[in-house]
Amino acid sequence: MLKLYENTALEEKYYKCNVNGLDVYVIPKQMSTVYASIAVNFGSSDTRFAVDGKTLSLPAGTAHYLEHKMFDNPDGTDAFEQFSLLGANVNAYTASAKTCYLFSCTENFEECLKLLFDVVTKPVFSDASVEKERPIITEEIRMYMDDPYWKMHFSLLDALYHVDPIRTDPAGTEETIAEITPQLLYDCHRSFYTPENMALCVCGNVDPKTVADIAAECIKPSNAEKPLRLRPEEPAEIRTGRAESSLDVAIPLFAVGIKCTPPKNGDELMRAEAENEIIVQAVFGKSGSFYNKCYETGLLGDHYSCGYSNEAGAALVMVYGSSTDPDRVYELIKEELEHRKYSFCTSEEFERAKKVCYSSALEAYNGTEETANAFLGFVFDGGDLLRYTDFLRGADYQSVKARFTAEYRCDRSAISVIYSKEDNNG
Amino acid sequence: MQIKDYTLREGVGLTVLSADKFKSNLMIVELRCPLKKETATHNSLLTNVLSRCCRQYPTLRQFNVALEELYAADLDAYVSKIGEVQKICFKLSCIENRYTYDGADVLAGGMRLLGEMIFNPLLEDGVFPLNVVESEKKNLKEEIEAIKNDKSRYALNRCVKNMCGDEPYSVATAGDVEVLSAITPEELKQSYDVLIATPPVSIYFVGREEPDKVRDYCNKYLPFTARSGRLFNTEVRGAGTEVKHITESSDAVQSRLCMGFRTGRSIKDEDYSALLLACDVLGSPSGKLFVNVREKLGLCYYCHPLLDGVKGLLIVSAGIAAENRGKTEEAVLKQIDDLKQGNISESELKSAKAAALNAYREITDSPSAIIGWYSTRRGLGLDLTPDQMARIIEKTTAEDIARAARDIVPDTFYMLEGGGTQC
Repeated sequence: MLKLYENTALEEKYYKCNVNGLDVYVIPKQMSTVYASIAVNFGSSDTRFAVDGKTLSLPAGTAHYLEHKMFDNPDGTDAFEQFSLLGANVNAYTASAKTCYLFSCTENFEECLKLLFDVVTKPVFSDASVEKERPIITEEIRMYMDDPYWKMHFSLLDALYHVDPIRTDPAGTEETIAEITPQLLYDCHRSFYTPENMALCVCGNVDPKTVADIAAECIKPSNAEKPLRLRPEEPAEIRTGRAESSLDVAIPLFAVGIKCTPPKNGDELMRAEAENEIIVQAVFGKSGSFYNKCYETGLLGDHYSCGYSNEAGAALVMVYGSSTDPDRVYELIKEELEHRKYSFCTSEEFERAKKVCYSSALEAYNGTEETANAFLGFVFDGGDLLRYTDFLRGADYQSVKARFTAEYRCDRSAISVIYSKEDNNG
Repeated sequence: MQIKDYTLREGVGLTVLSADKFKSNLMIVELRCPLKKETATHNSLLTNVLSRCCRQYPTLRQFNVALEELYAADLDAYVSKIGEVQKICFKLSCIENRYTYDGADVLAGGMRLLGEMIFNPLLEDGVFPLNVVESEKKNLKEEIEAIKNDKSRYALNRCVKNMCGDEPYSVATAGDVEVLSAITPEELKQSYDVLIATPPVSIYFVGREEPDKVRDYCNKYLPFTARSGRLFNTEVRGAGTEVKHITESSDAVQSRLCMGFRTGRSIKDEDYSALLLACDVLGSPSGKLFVNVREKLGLCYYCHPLLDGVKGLLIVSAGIAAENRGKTEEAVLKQIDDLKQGNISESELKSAKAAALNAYREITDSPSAIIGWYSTRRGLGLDLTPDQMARIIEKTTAEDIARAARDIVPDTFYMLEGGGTQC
């Protein structure tokens, strides 16, 4: 029942099986810490769905609110205390594509895993318990409002996307969370927290068979009707192309995004990810001409980063940093994109970019948490972390160049700027 | 874990911590200086200048190309502070040779570059090039000022600054913008000469390379000369007679409260485990603060204690609505009072110990945590493994914790008051 997959070059392997509809992955690692995560294929981007003949529209922040409330026990206590007594750290997070419930421990793994299953499979919501959570989540939302990077990020998505729910903060707003009721949480749980719609990934020094047995004990087959996700049709074009606001920051922060075509699931998705990572390194990486030109002229400093992301069917490239003249940086980015259309990159640059991406992919195996999270990043999209480095190493220059030419379009780009308050007043 | 210590020269030590479970190697070279306003900024700027270029790779781009060729070896220089000591650190992290696909010797190449960064800086007329110094001054200034982008961290810094204003501890390790603006290339070169020749050096390595080979690499690429191997003290002070209440305003939406306490104890004390557990009873995931201040009273999303065991400070931070300041302070003080009274339930004690023990066992899974553990303790002349500490924790009782808690006294309560409504 347990199937073994291996990558001998990386000295990594994992076991996979399906237990009553639930995909279970175990990645053996000789470390003291065991990390386990149950990912539910339900995130903040799932805002409308049809089930049992009716259509439900969720207020922004529902998946996240549900995540908070899953920790309540029927007797009024919460799961944090139980995990604490076992010396484990338990946590959860809600992203646009998924909600993950996780723990790490160095002892009592089996009890912890059973508890984690309890957390995701035993909902108990009351008016009072849902009400009690509102001021806590409100402070969480308010905390993020003060985070300029958070604001910059979501403003960028808002400038790029017309209707895709990825534009909205997973936690919602004070207004939207006011609409959340126990019934709504039950509806979401029944529709999405089914074995077929979840995956368990455990990484550490554990016996795969034990994990599978515990899963079989805790997970029962579900006969709930599969919900139909109603995702709005997002145009390929960008929405506004620019967002700006001002906050109490030292010097302006910027994020430039390029909207890409979301790849199909499976191998195509891994190829797209590998090729885009290579492009981003070659064009915007720290040994590239763009960054160094900006650094030498004082437009950019050390606070600079770039990457590709594909989550919940929204794929984009992001370049961000701080600069006294973000608009000039944006102009230079666009010039760089135009220039590279005619001379993409040298073969040395290409090979070097591959090494950078390979090394960064390898880093994901340095800890049980990193490994499990990287692994879960692919599972609902039919990818496989163990094969990802093969796509990087095997990337073909012509194919990468063709992707660059087709996808990295100036007219699909946008900038989000957070000015400092003083600048704007002055 | 196998630990092998070498004395490369007087005052220059190497510790090899052997581990074969990581895909990469980590080396950190630490130089320890007393934290002082006059030198902190110079050292901080030096780390920026040295990590930007060197004689062999005179531009950032050339330096970065060389590193990326070595499978993106991460070479960095930075400062950090531990108690009243400023650590000037040079770091190399690179993938294990066995995982390269072209047979490159990444470790040897990385070690060579580490040596180049520290010992062969780019100089013009015997000093650092003016344009490099000026541009790194600008970068560092932005970095120092950017701390206000993170309101929680900013509030914490302001709390400490107000609390320890007349102690070296309040000196920011990243530096001071006024001192920074006046630094000349000549001055910086003088600081560099002192830095390379004077402070004690501790080199740490985590990876699977043979310890003797690591020693050979250090002898070849890191030619530190002999120096005094002295340790530097951090003063652990008691609180003043009156609690300082400070409020500063900001346009943040949320207010950040930082309640600063003196603990009267430090990591050097024999019963430090009691203080550590006191903090865990407050701050473990189901600790008194989470259960009471967040879950029962719903005052905040986060409320956690931060213990600086070297300096003997405890800061409880929370993000709250401004009007809830009084209630929050009262609730936090009540929890600490409960500790002092010995109101520690069996499950609270069990959870706190379990959290501490778990944290010690996790250390061996992270190269930087391993180095952090030994660096902190050896810098104070302590020789204690996480296992030994775990055994002490196990023996610590609720009475020990209450006794340690009774020495915790409030010093400075700071709030960065929000009031902004932007969204």
